[in-house]
Amino acid sequence: MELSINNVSKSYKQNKALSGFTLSFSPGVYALLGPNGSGKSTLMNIITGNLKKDSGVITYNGKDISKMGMEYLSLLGYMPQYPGIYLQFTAEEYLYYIAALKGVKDPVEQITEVLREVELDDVRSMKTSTFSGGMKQRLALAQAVIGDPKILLLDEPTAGLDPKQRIAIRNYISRISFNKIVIIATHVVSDIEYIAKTAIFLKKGVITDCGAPSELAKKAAGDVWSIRCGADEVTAYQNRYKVINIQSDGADVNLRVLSYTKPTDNAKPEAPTLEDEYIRVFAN
Amino acid sequence: MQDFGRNLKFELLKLLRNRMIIIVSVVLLTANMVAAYRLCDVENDAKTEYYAQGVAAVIKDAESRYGAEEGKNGFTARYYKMIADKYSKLRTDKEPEAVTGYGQYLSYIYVDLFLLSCCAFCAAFTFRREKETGEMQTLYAYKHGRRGYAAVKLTACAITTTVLVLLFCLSSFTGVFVRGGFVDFTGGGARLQDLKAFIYAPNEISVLSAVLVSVLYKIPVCIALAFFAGGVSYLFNSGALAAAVSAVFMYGSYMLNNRSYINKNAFLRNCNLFASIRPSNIFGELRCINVFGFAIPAYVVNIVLPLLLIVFFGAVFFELHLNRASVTIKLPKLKFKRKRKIKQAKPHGLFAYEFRKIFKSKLCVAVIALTLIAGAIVSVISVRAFPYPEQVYKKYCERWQGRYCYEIEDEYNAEQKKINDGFEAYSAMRYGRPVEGIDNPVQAADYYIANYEGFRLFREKYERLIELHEQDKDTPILFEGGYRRFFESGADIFLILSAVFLCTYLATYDRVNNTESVMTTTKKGRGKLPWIKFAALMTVSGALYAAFTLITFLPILFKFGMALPYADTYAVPGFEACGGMSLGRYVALMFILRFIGVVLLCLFCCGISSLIKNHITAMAATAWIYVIPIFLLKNAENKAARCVEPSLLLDGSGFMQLFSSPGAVAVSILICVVIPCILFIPFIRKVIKWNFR
Ligand SMILES: Nc1ncnc2c1ncn2[C@@H]1O[C@H](COP(=O)(O)OP(=O)(O)O)[C@@H](O)[C@H]1O
Ligand SMILES: [Mg+2]
Repeated sequence: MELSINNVSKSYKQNKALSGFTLSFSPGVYALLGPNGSGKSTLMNIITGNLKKDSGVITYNGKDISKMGMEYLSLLGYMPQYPGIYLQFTAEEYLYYIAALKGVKDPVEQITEVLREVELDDVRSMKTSTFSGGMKQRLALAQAVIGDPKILLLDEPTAGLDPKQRIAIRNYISRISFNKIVIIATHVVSDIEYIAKTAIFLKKGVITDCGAPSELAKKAAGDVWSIRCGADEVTAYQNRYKVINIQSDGADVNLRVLSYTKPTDNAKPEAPTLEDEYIRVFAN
Repeated sequence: MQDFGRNLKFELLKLLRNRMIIIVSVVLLTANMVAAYRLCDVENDAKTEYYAQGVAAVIKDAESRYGAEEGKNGFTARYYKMIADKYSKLRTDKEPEAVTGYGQYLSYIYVDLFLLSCCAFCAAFTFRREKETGEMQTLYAYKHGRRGYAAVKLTACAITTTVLVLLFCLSSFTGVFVRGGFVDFTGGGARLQDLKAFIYAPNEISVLSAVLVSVLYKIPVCIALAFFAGGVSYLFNSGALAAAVSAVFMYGSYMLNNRSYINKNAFLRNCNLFASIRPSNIFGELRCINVFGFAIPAYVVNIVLPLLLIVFFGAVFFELHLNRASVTIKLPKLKFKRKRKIKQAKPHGLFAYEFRKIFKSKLCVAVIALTLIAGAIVSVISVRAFPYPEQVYKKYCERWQGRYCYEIEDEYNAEQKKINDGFEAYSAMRYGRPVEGIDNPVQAADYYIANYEGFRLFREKYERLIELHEQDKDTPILFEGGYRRFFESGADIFLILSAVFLCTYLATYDRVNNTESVMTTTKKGRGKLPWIKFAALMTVSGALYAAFTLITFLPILFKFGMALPYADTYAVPGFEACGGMSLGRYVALMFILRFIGVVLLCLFCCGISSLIKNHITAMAATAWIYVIPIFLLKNAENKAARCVEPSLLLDGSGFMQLFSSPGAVAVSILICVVIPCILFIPFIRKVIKWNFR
């Protein structure tokens, strides 16, 4: 099972949203990382066929997806960045509807299970107009998962969720990712740091880096320092270095700083994380 | 203050930068100009005679009534005194001259319709924009937030409305002008009374001032209406609901001002809240309203009321803004509703879900119910009129029903003689002449009085049938009142409105709810769903069509009957163009044509909805395109002119009447059939367009 994207480009008038994107996906979780406007959603929409690409080819198992038609669509599960739901439907009804659209043969059990997984089973008969933002978000995720899609595309799935739900969703995605291509677009590094097989850094429509999260994190090795200083010095450091974290313990301040050279004598080297690398890449 | 000016500028720029606003305004302005051009009847400004006598009669009547009430010092006395005073100041020594153009301009009423729609649209945009884009909360959090913001909104709305009033007046003026209406721009120094429609205007002003005043009068009333539309659009959560409420208000006031439609009451016409939008209300015959016994002329009321309304609606708007960040109105829950047991949902087919989308929406159900009720009321009201002469005519028709005209000649002549004798008896008794040769003159005279008018109608028909007989077009005698009413019933506006609402609602539903991007990634959502949607739409509109057909058809059938369906259409005057076809077939054809009209309306709606994102805009655009030509062309002299009506197939007989001119048929087919089909292409493309190339 392989989804290959070859040299795909897309521009909106003058604005190049994606240029020459080339990558091959095999089963596992992929994280598409990048700041707002880097082209994550654009890529998602091209893979789903909602958006027309300017050039390039996308193949699935060697077959051009534009020639596959319905066969390709039945592989997809998609959660858009701004998911909509029918406010007049109940959660359950909405999922049944999506199941009907996907042509799922026997949806009853599946939907019961999915609703339990996203912790909506006690409100399954309530109208979605009464749902909070997080509940809607989880319903939208449930919708994408129904029908056991082979390609699962999630555009910022954890936006607006509380930490507990974030973890629950993260684990759920990780659990179902077996034998599936899961692509998660996000700018929240911690969401995917431990579940992604591969992280892809996308900057203005171009892949700047791609690899296992732990490998990518290593790229920042030697550039991350911790400094202990007085509160009055913080601004000076901020002007000179990229400060990732500021932690104050009353008297003094602990800074986590990105720097290619040792910033001060008392600076201690730190073990890098994926977030450090993210900041390093997208800092300027 | 500086902030105010800057924000105001932004607010106006928002309007000007919006392409939709510009398009709508230009379209409405043009439509208004074309309508003014088409409807203006330059030759009709003929010289009015008997002006002096008319005014003298008004004065005399007022004086005599004043005399009767004198001393009581009540409203009635004051009223007639005021009339007598006003009218005796008018110069009646010279008869009015013929003035063209200005009379036409002042009596052109459709400008109200266009103007109100445009104002409501712009107002709704002004007030609703932030709510729809979700900027409302941000704006509220500002330091100077609410009060200033509300003031800016209201001012921007007032300015826009004023500009619109001026533009629309200019556009109708241009329409009349292009038609060659204005021979002399200065009006030749003519007075308002010189215009045929305004001979009984109580104030002596020149036509030029009248035009100016009429424009000035329009401004406050339009602002009041715009504030209302804007406030409503701000108040309701659902844009469609807001649009519906505003539309009822707008068109309600339009109807209230309209003699021919609902309001036959001259007093209401002149003194309702929005009367001042129409010149004939301000300048017409003097009317007063009773304010604590004082007689206040309508034209004073007409300027005071809108001003009060502006203050009222403005204050309500301020109140809403200051107290609540976002006000929503929910439809009231019925108390007696049982607590429904929560039902477990079951899987259904896709077709069923389309219906759920409609019937789970209270708005849709309300629209269906309201249009059906309104349709039923209008239909029942319109069959209520069954004038006595026509009843007598029906009696004659039924007496000789189905017999060819020459067969009844003897009986007919006998009846004719009976009526003639009755007339003799009647006139003899009336003028005191002796009655000769009639046994019971009183009875004969009564017979004449009762049956003369009806018999006259029958005679016309009889002579026509003989004429037809001589051309070898034999037709039996029948009472054609039922058929005529059915054929003339025309396109049902309520059917159009409800079908347009539902079609655009369902067709834009997924996009409005932001679920379309998910649908299109599913197997059935891409290929099948649009067709299923279309099938659902056809089913719903088909059901609506059936319901509305029953609503119009059954009352006519029960009240007038539809005898002899095998008889020829020649028997129904006005429908000879389709002669050679039996009435039954013609009725069936009508049903079929109207149904095709509904199908095409569906196609049109789907097409428009796939071009326009938002439900309200799609709905308004379609409703305008379908409904306005009906208003404008319904009474057109030249039947062929109706070929530009997109709803002509829904009228059925209107379409059949075009058949005397092949060109008109071609144009009509282009407009009614080809254009909806072409518009449907973008909808189909959704099905076959893969984006994956
Ligand atoms: N419909 C659109 N029209 C024009 N430009 C767009 C549109 N959608 C996205 N863009 C542009 O494309 C770029 C990538 O956007 P997007 O894919 O949404 O980024 P991300 O999802 O990573 O935040 C941005 O610069 C954005 O301005
Ligand atoms: Mg995005």
